[in-house]
Amino acid sequence: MRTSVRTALRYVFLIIIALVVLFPIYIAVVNSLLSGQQIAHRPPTLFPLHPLWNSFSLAWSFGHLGTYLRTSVIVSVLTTLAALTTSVLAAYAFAFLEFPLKRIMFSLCLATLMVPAEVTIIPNFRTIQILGWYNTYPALIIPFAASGIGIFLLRQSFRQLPRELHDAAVLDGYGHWRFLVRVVLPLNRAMIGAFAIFAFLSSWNQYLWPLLVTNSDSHRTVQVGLRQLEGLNPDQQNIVLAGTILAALPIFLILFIFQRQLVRGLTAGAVKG
Amino acid sequence: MASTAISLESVNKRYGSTVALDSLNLQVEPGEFFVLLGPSGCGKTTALRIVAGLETPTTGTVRIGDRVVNDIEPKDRDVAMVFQNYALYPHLTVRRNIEFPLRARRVSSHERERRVMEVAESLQLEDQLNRKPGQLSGGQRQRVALARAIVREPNVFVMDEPLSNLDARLRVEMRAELIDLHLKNGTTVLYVTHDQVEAMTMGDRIAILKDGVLQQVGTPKDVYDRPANTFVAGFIGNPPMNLMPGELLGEPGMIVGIRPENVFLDDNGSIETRVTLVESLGHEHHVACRLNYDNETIVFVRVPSTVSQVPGIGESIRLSITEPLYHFDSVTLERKAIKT
Amino acid sequence: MISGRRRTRIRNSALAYVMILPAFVIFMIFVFYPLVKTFYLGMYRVPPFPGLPQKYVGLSQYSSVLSHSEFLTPLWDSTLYVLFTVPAGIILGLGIAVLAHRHLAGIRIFRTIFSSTIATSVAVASVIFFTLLDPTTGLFSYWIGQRGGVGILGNPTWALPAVATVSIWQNLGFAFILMSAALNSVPDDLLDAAAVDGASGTRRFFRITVPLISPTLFFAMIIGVISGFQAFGQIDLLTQGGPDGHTNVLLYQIYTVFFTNADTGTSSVMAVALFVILVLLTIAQFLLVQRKVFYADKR
Repeated sequence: MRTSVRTALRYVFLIIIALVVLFPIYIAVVNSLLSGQQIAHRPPTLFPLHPLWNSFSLAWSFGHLGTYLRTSVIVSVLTTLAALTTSVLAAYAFAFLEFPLKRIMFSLCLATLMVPAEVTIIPNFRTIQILGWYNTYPALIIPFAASGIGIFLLRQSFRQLPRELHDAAVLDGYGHWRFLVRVVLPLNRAMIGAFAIFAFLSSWNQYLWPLLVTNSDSHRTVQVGLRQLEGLNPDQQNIVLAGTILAALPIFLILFIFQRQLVRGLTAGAVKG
Repeated sequence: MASTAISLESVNKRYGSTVALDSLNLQVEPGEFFVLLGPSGCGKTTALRIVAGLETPTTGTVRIGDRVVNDIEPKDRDVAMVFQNYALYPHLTVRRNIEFPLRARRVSSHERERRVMEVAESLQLEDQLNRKPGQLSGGQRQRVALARAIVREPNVFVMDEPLSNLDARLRVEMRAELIDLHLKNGTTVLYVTHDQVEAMTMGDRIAILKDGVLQQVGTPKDVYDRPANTFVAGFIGNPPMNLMPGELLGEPGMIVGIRPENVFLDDNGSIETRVTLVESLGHEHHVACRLNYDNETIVFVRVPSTVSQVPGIGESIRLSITEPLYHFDSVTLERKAIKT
Repeated sequence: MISGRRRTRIRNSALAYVMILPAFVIFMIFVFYPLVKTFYLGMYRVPPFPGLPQKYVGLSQYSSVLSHSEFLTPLWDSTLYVLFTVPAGIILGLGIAVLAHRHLAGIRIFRTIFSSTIATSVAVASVIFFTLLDPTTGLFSYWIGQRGGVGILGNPTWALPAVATVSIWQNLGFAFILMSAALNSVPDDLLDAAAVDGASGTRRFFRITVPLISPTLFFAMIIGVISGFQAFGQIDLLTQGGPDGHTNVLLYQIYTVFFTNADTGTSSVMAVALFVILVLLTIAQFLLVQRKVFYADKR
C-alpha cells in the first residue's frame, strides 16, 4: 500500500519535471506554428488548432537558415574530420612510438587543455586578418583542427590495446601505417566515435569565435545566424522560432541516433579524468 | 644445415639499473624443443623477446641459424611467436587472423587460401574459420594462435607461456597436441614456461633461469637427476627436494638433499618425526613431517596410495631413506659430485 | 656505419614527428603563440585616437586595469552568475537523476526527456527564452503579470538571475546525464548492505551515495564554474550586458572592450586575468581528479 503511494508520487514528480523541462521547447514549436498576431494574442494560445507551416519556409529562405545550416554542416564536418585526423595521428605516435622529447611534447598537448579559446581571441583575430581568412571557412575550421583532449583520450584508448597485438603485428611484418589502419582504428571505434561526436557538437555550438571572424550571411554559422534572426520584428517571432527549431533539429537527430556514443563522449572527461 | 638453430652469446639486458639477463649463453639445436624455465621475473620472457627481436640486448650476440640477427628486424628473422594471451585480433575472423601474417608478406590469395585451409585442418579449426575470437573457447583461441604461427612456416617458433591461460584439463590436452605437432613438422621451438611439469614433459632440453642468471641446461632427466644447485633441486620435482643441513664424509657446512620419493614410512626407521600436514592427491599422498631432532626442518614424503596406513596430523612416525643423496655446498649452493 | 635497428629507430622518430606535426603546427599558431601574445599586448597602451603608435607601458597597465571597476564589476557579475548557475544546476541535476534512477515503467521516456536539453545550444536556448521573456508577447511575461515596459531582461535586479535560469535549463540535460552515470557507478551491494543494516532511504543517500559520487559532484562543480566564467552567447543574445551593465560578465566585457572600443591593451589584460582564473580552476580540477582516482583505488 505504502509503496504504491510512493510510486504514484514518484510519477507525479517525474511528470511535473518533464513538463517543466519540455515546456520551453513545446511553446517554441507551438509559437512557430502561429502567426505573429496570434502569438501576441491574450490569453495566449497553448495549442495550435490551425497550424501555419509557412514560417519554416520563411525562416529557411528569408531568414537565411538554409545558408546558415549549410555553413554549419560544412564547418562542423570538416572540423571534426580534421581534429579526428590530427588527433589519431598524434595519439598513435604517443602511444606506439619512441622518440626524443616525447614526454615534453605530450605535456604540451595536455597544456593546451588549460588554454580556453576565449582567452586567445584577441591575437587569434589578428592572425586571421593577417592570413586573409576573415569571412572564410579556414577561419572557422583551422583553429579547431587539433584537439588536446582528442589526443589525450585517443592515446589512453590506444594504450589499452594489449601490447602483444602490437608485437604480433611487428613480427608479422606490419608497418606502422598498416597497423594503424588494420588494427588500431577498428579496435578503437568506440572512443573514436565518441570523440567525433564530441568534436562535432563543440564545433556546431561555437558562438563567440564565428561571431568574431565572419560578418556575411554566406559564412555565418547557424548559431550566429540566430543572432541575426533574433533581431527580426516582434511580430515575426514565429519565423524566429521556426529558425531556432531548424537550427536545433540536426542535433536532436544526432542525439537520437548516437545516444550511447554521445553519453560516452560527454562523460568521457568525467570518467577518464 | 647450421649447427645451432638459435644461439645467445653473452647476452646482457639491463633496464636502467635492473639486470634482466646476466651474460646468458644458450645453444638451441635444430629441431629441438627447448624450454626456458624459471619463476616469474627470472628473465625467460626477456630472452624470448630478444630472440624474436621485440627487445634488443644491451650487449651480446644473437644468432638464428648462422646469421647474426642483432641488427635484423623482427619480421625478417623468420621467427613466429605464440603469445600467452593469444594476441588474436578481436575484430577479425579466425580466417583473417590466421592469414594476417601472409597478407603482410603479400602471399597470393590462392596460396593463402591453401595454406590457411591446410593449417586449419591440422588444428581442427575448419568449422571456426568464419567466427570471431570472442566466440571461441580458450582452447580454440589457443589453436588459432598456433595456426597463425604455423601458417608462416617459420624456421623457429618462440612460445611465451602459451598454455598458462587454459584450465588444467585443456592444458594437458594441448600439451600433447603441441608435442604431436612438433614431432610432425620438426621445427625448432623455444618455449617459455614457469610450469616445471610442462618443461619436464615437453622439453627435449630445459634451461633453468633465476634472476637473469642461467642455472643449468640439460635434458629433463639431467636436471632432475643431477641438479646443478639447490635452486634447480628445489624448483624441479613436486613436492620439491628435501634440503637440510648436514655433513659429507665428516665435512660440515653441507646441505643434504633427498627426493621425497626416496623417503619411506618405516616403523623401524631411524628418523623420528611428527606429521604436520597430509595432502591426498588420490594416486599418492604428500606427507610433511617435522624432524624431532631439528624442529626447523620439514621433510616431505611421497606415499603411494597403495600404502593402506596413511598417518594423521600430529602422529609420531619414523622414516627411512634410500640413495641417492645429494650434497650441496652451503655457501655456493652448488652440488658436489661425490666420488664413490 | 649505422646498424639496421638504429636506422629503424631513426625512421620511427621521424615518423612520430610527422604524425605529431599537424596538431603541433595548429597548437603553435592558435594556442601558444596567442597566449604569449596576449600577455605581451597587455603591456601596450592603445592610443585614444586611431593612427597614433601604441605605447609600451609594461605591467603598469595590468595594475591599473585590474584595480579598475571596468574589470572588477564584470568580475563580480561573473562570480554572481557562477553562484546562481552552479549549485542550482548540480542540485537539480542530481535530484532529477535520483528520481529517475529507480526502475519504473516508462522510465526511459522520462530519461530521454530529462536529457533532451543537451541537444540545445546556448544560442537556441537563449533565443527561445528571449521570445518567452519578451515584455509584450512573451508567455512568461504574461504569466507574471507584466505587459510592456522593459520586461524581466530589462530589470536590473532580475536580468542576471533570468539569464542564469536559461543556462540552468540548457545545461540540465548534461547535469542529468552526468549524475545518472555517477549514480549507476554506485555498487548496489553497498546500498543493499546499508538497507539490511536498517539505514533509511535518506540516510543511505547522504551517507553512502553522496560520498561515493562526490568526485563527480566536484567535477561538475569545477566544469560548471569554468563554463560559467566563459559565458558569452547567452549574454549577447539576451541582454547584451544590460540593463546598465548588470549582466556585463567578464568575457562580454572583454569582447566589448576589444571589438567595440578596439582597445587591445585593456582587453588583453582582462583576457590574461580570465586565463589565470581558469588555470587555477583547472589545476583544482586535476587535483580533485587525482583524489578521485585515489578513492577508486581504495575501493
